[in-house]
Parts: sequence; C-alpha cells; structure tokens
Amino acid sequence: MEYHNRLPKEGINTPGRHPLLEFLRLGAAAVIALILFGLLLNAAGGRLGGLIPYRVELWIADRIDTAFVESGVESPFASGSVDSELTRYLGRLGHRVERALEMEAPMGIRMHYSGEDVFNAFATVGGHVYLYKGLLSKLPHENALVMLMAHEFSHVQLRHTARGVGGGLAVAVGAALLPGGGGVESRLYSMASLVSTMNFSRGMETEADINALRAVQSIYGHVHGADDLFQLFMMQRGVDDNGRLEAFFSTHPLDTKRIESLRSEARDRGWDLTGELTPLPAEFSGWLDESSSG
Amino acid sequence: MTDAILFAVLLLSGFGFGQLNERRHYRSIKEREVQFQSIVTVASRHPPADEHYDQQLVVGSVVVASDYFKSFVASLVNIFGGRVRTFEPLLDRGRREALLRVKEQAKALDSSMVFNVKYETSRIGGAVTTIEVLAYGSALLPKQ
Repeated sequence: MEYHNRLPKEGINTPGRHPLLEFLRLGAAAVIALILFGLLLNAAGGRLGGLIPYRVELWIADRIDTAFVESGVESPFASGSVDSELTRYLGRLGHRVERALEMEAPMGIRMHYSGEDVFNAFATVGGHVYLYKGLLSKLPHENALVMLMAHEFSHVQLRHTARGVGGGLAVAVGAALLPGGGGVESRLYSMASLVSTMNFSRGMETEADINALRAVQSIYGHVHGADDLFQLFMMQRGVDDNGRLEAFFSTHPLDTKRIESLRSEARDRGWDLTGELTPLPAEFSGWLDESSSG
Repeated sequence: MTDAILFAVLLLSGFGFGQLNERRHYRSIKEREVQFQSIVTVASRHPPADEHYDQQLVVGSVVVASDYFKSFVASLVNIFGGRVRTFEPLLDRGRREALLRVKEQAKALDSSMVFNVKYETSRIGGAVTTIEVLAYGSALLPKQ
C-alpha cells in the first residue's frame, strides 16, 4: 500500500467570511433583539406600575427619603422648603393648577424650588416636583409658568412616575436574568433599554402636554401662551429640531411637533388661542435673584 | 463611559492583534507543512506488514488563546446559536500546529511514517477562551 500526505485544501475547516462582517451582522441582530426585549419589559412593567395605588407610591417615596436620611445624605425630597415670597407665590399658583387638574387627596404635589441656574423642571415619585431658577427666569408670562407646572403635575396625576418606576424595575430585573449577567449581553441590554425607556417616556410627555393644556384653559379661559413654553425650549436649544435622529434619542417629542399637537388639540376642543396673557408679578425676577443669592 | 472606552479598546486591540497573529501563524503553518510533507501521518491503526519496524509514541501539543474580539463575537453567537465562525480558525490552527509538532518529533527520530494519529482538544479555563490541542501517534522507526 502507498501512503501519501498531500497538502490540506484551505477554506474547508475555516469560514470564508470576514470576522468584521460576522461581528456587524451579529451585533446588529443582538441590539435589535435586546431593544425589542427591553421595550416589551418596559411596557409591561410600566403598565403594572400604573396599577400601583398612589398610597404605595407615597410609601416608596418615603422609603427613599428615609434611606437618604439614614445614610447621612441630605434627601432630595427635603430640599426647596425655604419660605420666601417666591415659594409662596409658586405654592399659590401650584394650588390653582392642582384644582384646575382636579387632583384629589391622597394625590398631592410637593413642590421644590432650586435657585440653581439649570434650565430644567421635573416630577418624580411621591408627587415631588422640582422647578429650577434657570428655567423660571426665562419664562415670558404666567401662562407659560402655569403650563410648565401643569405639565409636571400631569406626570404625577397620570401616574407617569409610577409607570416609569415599574418599567425601569422590569428592565432591571430583565438585565439581571439575562444569561451571563454582567457580561456582554447585559452590557448591550442596558444600552438598548436606555433607548427603549426614552421611547416610552416620549409618549408620556405628549399625554402630559394635552392634560396640562386643560389646566391652562380652566384657569385663564383660553390657551394662548401655553405653547410659548416650547418656543422657549426651541430657542434655548438654538437648533433646528427637525432631525429624525434627534427625535429618536430625545426623551421629549420634538418641540415643533408639541406645538403643532397642542394647537390642534385646542382647535379640536374649541379653546381660544388668542386670549389675553397674564404677566408674571413685577417682583418675580427680583425674587429669583434673591433666591440664588440667599 | 470609562467602561465603554475600555470595551472599545479591548475589542479593537483584540481584532488588530488577533488578525495579525492569525495571519503570521497560518504563514508559518503553510511553510512547515511543505517542509514536512515527506513525513506521512495516517489515522490507520495497521502499519504496513511487509517490513518490520520499531514503534515509538510521538506527541505534539499546542495551546492557543482566542482574543477579546473573537470571544465577544462568540458570545453574540450564544444568543442566537449557529456556527461560531471566529473560533473555527483557532481550532484549525491548533490541530495543524499540533500535527506539525508530531511530524517534527518523528523527523527527529528519523521516522517517515506516523500511524494511528489521534487528536484531543481541551479547554483551559480563564476569561478568554484558550484551548489545548494534542496530537499523537505511533512513529515507525527503521529497525536498528
């Protein structure tokens, strides 16, 4: 018998495909799959979160507050309690907005004001709403301030904060349950869940806008000036916000779309878009200056 | 952010160094396969009966590590299943290198034939996949 050793033919035991192509194909598929998984969990968790009784949401907020106090760190829920002309004015206006929104006990707003030059306002669990000087100082009239407050209060009233917590928890549990938790999959998953959470949040923003418009109409008898809040956001950004990419990665709907949808809602309901604007108190900017110097 | 940068650096360096090593290793393997082509290695358990030979065990062993890029792509395959294409060249290199070492040892013994060649593969623990490929067989030595 003759024995031979011919050279092996290449490409039988090894793939012909470039590893980068393999990486791109699998990476794209993994991100899509994990985004879908995150979206599903977020939606399911958000829905369950919305079913939590408001008293339980208050209990969660109290637990967070206690945890801060016990760890010796000042609780974010304890801040903003400085008694001043400004906080009294904001408190009075806040009560009017609460009544206009027909918010009933135990649901209530705990408003916090910060003298920091931050262009922001937000609502969180337990009815805590934060207003920053940086945003208030740029508001053109009271109607825009009422729109801002009503928008943040709406997040509490419509249980967006509870839904947000539910969705976030479900996503966190999903990340922990992934095989090889802490590894590649969970790293990708947390990136993907961030995007999915943002998408969920945009739906809430639109819902809060429409609800807030109702409060503006109830207080002033017209909705003129409500959309000036979003004109202000647009000016602040100083960019053309028609980009699709920006829309995808933004937690809020595009400002132009928000303005359009508010106007369309007002027209559908027959609300006046041309009423008289109510100015902010003459001392308002002085109060703001005092708040940051104090 | 630091994590993301570290991850990107590991992935890029894994890809760069991994590709470079793989190319160099394959070049070396192909050269030595030509060099040792005269030494016959077969899986048959029955040596030629026409002549009498002495026999000796020859062993070739190699340890090859994957790189961060290959391991990352393999972990993505874990989600969907299918061929782990990035590991296939790793095992191919391991088997061919181990067989070349068998031939090298046979040549050192002045043998031109190795019978009953077998492979064994085992995974060595660690964060990055590392494998050991062992090839062994019976070298036929001319009777002294």
